[in-house]
Amino acid sequence: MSRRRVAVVVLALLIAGAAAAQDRRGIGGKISKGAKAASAGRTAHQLAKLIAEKFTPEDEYYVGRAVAARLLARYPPSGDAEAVAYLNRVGQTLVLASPKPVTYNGYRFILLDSDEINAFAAPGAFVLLTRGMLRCAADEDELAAILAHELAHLQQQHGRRAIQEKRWKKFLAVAGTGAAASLSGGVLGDLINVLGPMTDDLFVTLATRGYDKELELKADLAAVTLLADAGYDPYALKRVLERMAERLDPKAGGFARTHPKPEQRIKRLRPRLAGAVPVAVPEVRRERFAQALRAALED
Amino acid sequence: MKRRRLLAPAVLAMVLGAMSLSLAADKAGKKTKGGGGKLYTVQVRQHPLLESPFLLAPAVAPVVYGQRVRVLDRRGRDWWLVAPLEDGTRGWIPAAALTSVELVLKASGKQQLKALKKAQKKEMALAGRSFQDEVERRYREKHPDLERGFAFLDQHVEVEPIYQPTAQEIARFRSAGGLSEDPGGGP
Repeated sequence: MSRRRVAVVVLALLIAGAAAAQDRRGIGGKISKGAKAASAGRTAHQLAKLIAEKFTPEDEYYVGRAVAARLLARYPPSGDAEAVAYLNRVGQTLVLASPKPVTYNGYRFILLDSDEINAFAAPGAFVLLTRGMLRCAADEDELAAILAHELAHLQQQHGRRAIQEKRWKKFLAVAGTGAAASLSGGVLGDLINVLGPMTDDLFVTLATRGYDKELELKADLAAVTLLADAGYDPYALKRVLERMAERLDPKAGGFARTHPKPEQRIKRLRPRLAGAVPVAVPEVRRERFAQALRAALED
Repeated sequence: MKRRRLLAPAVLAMVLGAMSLSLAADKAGKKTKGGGGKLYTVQVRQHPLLESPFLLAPAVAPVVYGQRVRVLDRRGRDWWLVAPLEDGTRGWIPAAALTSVELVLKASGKQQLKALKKAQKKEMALAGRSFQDEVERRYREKHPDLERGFAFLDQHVEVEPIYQPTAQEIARFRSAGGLSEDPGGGP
């Protein structure tokens, strides 16, 4: 064989090999990536990248529904339609001013009929808050401050950090096989066995253990920015925290256990608020707050 | 004769290689032939394409989760003019509703329906339901204590208008409350 012919054959084989390798990084790549992640050995950064690719907005929404259902099993929902409508208008006003105004199925704000002071952000994106928490707000801007903090948790995807790494590895092993779209009974069972424990992790974090304290403080800082962007008073969060400091029993469970002390949160807010322009809450916002929530605010 | 035997596998390998490269490029969602913009995937359950890059603009047509669209133009970082691959319509949509990742359709849609039809006989009754609906159904069977919560989500939170104020309602609410007409952060 002449050198020229050998060169032609080698070149052709190289092209074919390169093409096959590139194809493996496409659909076929998903299989090997999922399997490798499942068998560990990946850095946190690589794992986070894979999760971002495989854990779809739809997956997140359905996990969030399960978490919300668990919270609703513990705290009965309020049937106060006027209060719920108002809550969702304030919430959506913030959403439209936020960096992530669109989610898989939109944001929902749910009022819980409980005197306990508490609020939750379940992925997907559900914000739930109790009447007890509502009573910590003296006007619309302060209510917006509470909701802005919860929205910050959702938009910064803090919920993902509440899920244990071993759950993610199992999820990637199932999602990465490509069989997840085939609807075979085995894959369904596998996914339920993965998504169920993910829901457990999130529920325990939201209701009992709390996020990492640093994430709470980050959510406060983002909330101040969001309040200002929406036209609300950025100082409203500080006022709510001051009221919480008066009302929260530090020895009690719930919110007092899952969040840093209000005094600590206020201290961290000070540098951020130093450059913020205060907004005087107009009478019209105070009036509609009192009108819409008159029943919900009663003891 | 000997020369032909050598050339045949070489040509075959080159053709196969070129075909694989072409397929791989298409799957990666890069610019496709025809000179159009990049392909993106809708990552929200549904969203209207709008006549102009403004939330209160009239809707042109809806797009749904998993649908592929070609980006034709951009207005800043927040609004993109897109055209679904399936038809000739075009409209504006918030960029946050799209992703560069080609989502595996586990939800409703043509691929899902096709997958359902191929599924085991016992799964056939589920045709038309989304994959995640089925995962949730089985999860709910295992957790009957959560049924009250799921039912509240299904019967109230997901359907009642008080949980889903329209863009027009929010615009009026903002205006009446003396809040900025054009919030800075979102689209």
